[in-house]
Amino acid sequence: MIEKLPMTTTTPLLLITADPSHPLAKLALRYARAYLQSVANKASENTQVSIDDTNSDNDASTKNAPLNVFFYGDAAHIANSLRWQSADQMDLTKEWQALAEQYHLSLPVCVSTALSRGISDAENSHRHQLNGDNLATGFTLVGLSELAMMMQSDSRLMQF
Amino acid sequence: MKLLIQLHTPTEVASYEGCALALTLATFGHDVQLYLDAPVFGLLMQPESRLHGMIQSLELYDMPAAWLPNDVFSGWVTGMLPTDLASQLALIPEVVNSQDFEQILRF
Repeated sequence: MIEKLPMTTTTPLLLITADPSHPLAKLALRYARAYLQSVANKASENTQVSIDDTNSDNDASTKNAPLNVFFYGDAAHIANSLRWQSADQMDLTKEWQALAEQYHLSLPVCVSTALSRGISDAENSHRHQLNGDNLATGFTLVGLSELAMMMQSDSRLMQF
Repeated sequence: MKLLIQLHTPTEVASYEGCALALTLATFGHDVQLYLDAPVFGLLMQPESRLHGMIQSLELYDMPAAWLPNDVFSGWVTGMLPTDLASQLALIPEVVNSQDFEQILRF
């Protein structure tokens, strides 16, 4: 599934519901990374063809990512900045943050599933009288309607 | 988008989140079919569970009756439930073409 990514005009939408300890959670990251890399490579090839035209910012990493992700259910744990990992384990939080920074990827997390798992940002902590906040940098808490809106456009939904 | 959302996990939170996703997507015009597997029957039978209340309101969301496995246990559960809830449930058709759905989600 990862080696040969289908070239389609639809935007992949990764609905990540697996707990960070589940193999699917890592697979989602691998898929996202491979997909974004393939799109960036393709954009880079196109830039090479028209290299003399202009110093345009055709690099895919400088534009909005051609991929949507949404963290729901147990996957909200990935957005917990206080989730500690031993050194020999992949830190999915940091990996997603790095990917998001590289490809300008937004990392929306369902607010209700996050709050029910003890993950909150400053605004929700204030609203719900919670003591402190722990949402990892780069992640945002959003309503479930965000996912529904992503699905309104031409998208290819995949659950991990 | 035409979706089948299957609820398998016998926890209040997982069944609630799967069902909440189904209702939200239905609100936004998606064509959603729910399937309740036997492990969530215990939650379905508890009047205080959120799953119980949400299945009762499927019709309000213009959603079809939720499918149950086609077996004797489903018949027993349906008979044990209040009429307003049982009316929102149906046995899964003998032939279901999974290709009819653009995606199948599992909770």
